[in-house]
Amino acid sequence: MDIQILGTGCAKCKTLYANAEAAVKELGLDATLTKVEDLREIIKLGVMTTPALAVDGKVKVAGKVATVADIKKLLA
Amino acid sequence: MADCCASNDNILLFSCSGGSNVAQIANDAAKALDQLGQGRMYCAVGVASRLPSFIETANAAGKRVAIDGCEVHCLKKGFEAAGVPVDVHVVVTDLGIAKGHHFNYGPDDVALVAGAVGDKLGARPCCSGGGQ
Repeated sequence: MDIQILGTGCAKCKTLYANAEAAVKELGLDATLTKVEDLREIIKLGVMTTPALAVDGKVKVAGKVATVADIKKLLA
Repeated sequence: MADCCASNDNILLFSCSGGSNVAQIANDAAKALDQLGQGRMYCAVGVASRLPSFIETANAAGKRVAIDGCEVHCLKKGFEAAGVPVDVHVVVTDLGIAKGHHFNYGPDDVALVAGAVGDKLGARPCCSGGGQ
């Protein structure tokens, strides 16, 4: 599973990354977590509001910091 | 969240919006940059039409970005005629996208143009989302 956190490096993006990291750990998933900060890559995924979270190339959350519980529901 | 992009309100984004693919790519790139917090899209026609309030707002910006669709440079010329400087100028056809009277383009084209603007501006941290 490939999880991407999309955003140009703001504090909310960092919080979302940390929440995703915690969700992966709590679920015991084998997942790769990457930050995508390049505008080109963010727009290519169709994201217009950040922070955003994509799973295997599909955007699941955009424009808000999902909680650990929210992300766990998405990944379970 | 102090590193969000309040300062980016001082960057105004203007785009071509003509009847070709490259014009609409320019327009979409400006929209994307606005929504991703890299500046604020503003009315290019208002400036090029020399409407005083639009010229005043454009001149008050810290930076003015003009995204032209093609080598005709309508937008840049309109700004020059209105006496409004352009600080960052990007032309879609200069990036290798051929002009045509069609609207068959995708996110990769928009990303290419928005990325070129971001490179010139020095893309900065921004969370454009409304909240937690």
